[in-house]
Amino acid sequence: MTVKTNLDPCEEERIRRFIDGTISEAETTKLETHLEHCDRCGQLLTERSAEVSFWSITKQILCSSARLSVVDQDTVTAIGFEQAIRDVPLLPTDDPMMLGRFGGYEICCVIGHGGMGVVLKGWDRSLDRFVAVKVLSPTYAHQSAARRRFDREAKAAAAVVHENVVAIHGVDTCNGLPYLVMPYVKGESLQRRIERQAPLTIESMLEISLQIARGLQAAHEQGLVHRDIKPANILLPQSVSRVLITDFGLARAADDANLTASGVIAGTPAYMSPEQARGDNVDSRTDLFSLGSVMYAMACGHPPFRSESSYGVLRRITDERHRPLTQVQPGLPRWFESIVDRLLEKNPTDRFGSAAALASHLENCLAHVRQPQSTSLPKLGRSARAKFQRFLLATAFVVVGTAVAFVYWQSAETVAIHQPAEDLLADEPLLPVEPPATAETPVPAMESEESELEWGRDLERLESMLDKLNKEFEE
Amino acid sequence: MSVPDTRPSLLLRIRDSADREAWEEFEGMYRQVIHRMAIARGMQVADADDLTQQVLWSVSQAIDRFEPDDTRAKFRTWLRTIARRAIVNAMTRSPQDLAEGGTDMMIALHEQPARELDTKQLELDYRHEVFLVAAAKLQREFHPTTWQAFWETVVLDKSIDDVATKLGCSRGSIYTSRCRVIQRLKQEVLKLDDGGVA
Repeated sequence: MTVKTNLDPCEEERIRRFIDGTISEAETTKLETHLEHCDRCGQLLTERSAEVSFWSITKQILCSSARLSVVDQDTVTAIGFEQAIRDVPLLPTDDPMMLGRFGGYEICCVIGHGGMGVVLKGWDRSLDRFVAVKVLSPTYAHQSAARRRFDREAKAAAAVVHENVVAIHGVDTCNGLPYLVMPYVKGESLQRRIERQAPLTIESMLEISLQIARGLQAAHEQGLVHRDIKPANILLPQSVSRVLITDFGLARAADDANLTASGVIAGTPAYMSPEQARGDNVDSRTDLFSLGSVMYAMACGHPPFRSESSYGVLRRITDERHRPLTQVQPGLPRWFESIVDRLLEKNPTDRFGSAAALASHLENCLAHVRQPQSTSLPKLGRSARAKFQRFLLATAFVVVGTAVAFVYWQSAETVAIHQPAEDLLADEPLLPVEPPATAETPVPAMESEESELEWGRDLERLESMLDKLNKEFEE
Repeated sequence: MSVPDTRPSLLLRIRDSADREAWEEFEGMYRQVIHRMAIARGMQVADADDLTQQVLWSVSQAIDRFEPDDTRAKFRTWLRTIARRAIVNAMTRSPQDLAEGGTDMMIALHEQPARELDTKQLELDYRHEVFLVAAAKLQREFHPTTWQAFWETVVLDKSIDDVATKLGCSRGSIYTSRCRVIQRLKQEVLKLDDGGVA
């Protein structure tokens, strides 16, 4: 690539290693000292690190860009956010304490910005209360997919009326920007609470999980799957010990032709279910898995599946079993661990049958924790698959049992038929009736020994058959 | 407000870890390049977001058609080609076409762009943005002095001696600094474009 004929090859070896990246620090210093005076080697180094044409293209392009810093991704995002707030067209207000007005509300501050919009804190004059106004970001308001999703979010959430789900006061559009109005909740998110206090007490974990389960039950009964259950979406109001599920941002009717097909990520990787991670169809049981992850996080401070990259997290969610909670938090009761384990089953059919079933189980657990003397711990029933397995096993036992009985009956009969002939040969013709009787006693004994062996083999075969069936069943 | 991520199942679909790494590195830069090109061509932020997502989506869909080969560098090279074709095609189409997205875009990936002149210009613009995005990334990666040694001697065309005096370092370190930067720049640029050297 480079002509070096007329170059003094004094430092060629060091330059080669500098380019390869195999040079030591001390050697680099030596090379730099040499370059102090040797322009030829400087030239060689320059030519070897990139082709002349690449140097000149670089110069040409970078020279023409005065506003290089704009490229910075963080800056772009920050600009996007500021712009989003700036672009929400606030009308002037008379109240000096307010930022402006939007959709008839006096806006006092920006609460935050979520996946698709800005959340403003507003004052509802007519009803004399604070509200949270979620405005679809101008960036998305002109995007039909985003707009549709926002509409859907609003309608979906508004349809669920439950004390554990943040209510939707109204949905409207202001200056072309769709927005929805929710009650303003003063308090912290479960995320914050976990960061501050994990591990939570067993009672508050049960209390919080129970309320989430009830909220989910209400949503699921409307045919809605939240799809993004995570600590940040659980609000804990300051005043009451009530838990609110918020941000049905990605909620959609389970039978709705969905938008995720357009390649948009749905859900937060750490709390995603395996079926979500794989991009498969999901139903209400995806929320149960996510709730299991939330319970796990409450108990030990972090979600069950962690990794450096989001790919790593996804891989773990789909392929690996979580580390048992009692290993992470040795003091935790086993029964709590088994609830979480059940929720974190990879196969949706192995989880609780519904949010309602989970809620009633949690309720009983809570009763036990509060009054251990008078209330016993509820039994965690077997999962659907375990029941199926038991059914298979029982069926197999019956089949094998019948087969053995049949074989025994047959052989007994054979003995009964053959015995006289043998007896005849054995020169004892005078006892024609006795032999079957005597024969009968030892034969079952032998038969049972033999059948035990047979049983062992049969069981092995059964086990492998069950394994195969299980695999098929899982698939 | 950043554009939503490409869906996680895509990452799971790319089985080879080296390819996955290639995609992750590629995707971050490519996203910025498309967005900047769109803005540079007078699109609104919202439309640019839309376009970015559609182009990324069409490229990610095309990944399913990539057939792994024994040659390791192939995925990167293939991605580079598809990426440039995708953006050129996206930009030569009218907004109405774009709004439909999806299958049309995928077909478009394999069509020859219609207007030769436009294509040429778009490819130059693309290279331009690739360099800028890569440079911005490296500016954050390198020590400010190292970056300045490169910037002043190469881009601003100042003499080695002047820059050495200004930055208070040796001539030798100016040489090594700018060479380190250009080597990395080439690596980064090559992820998305041949950098005019191939």
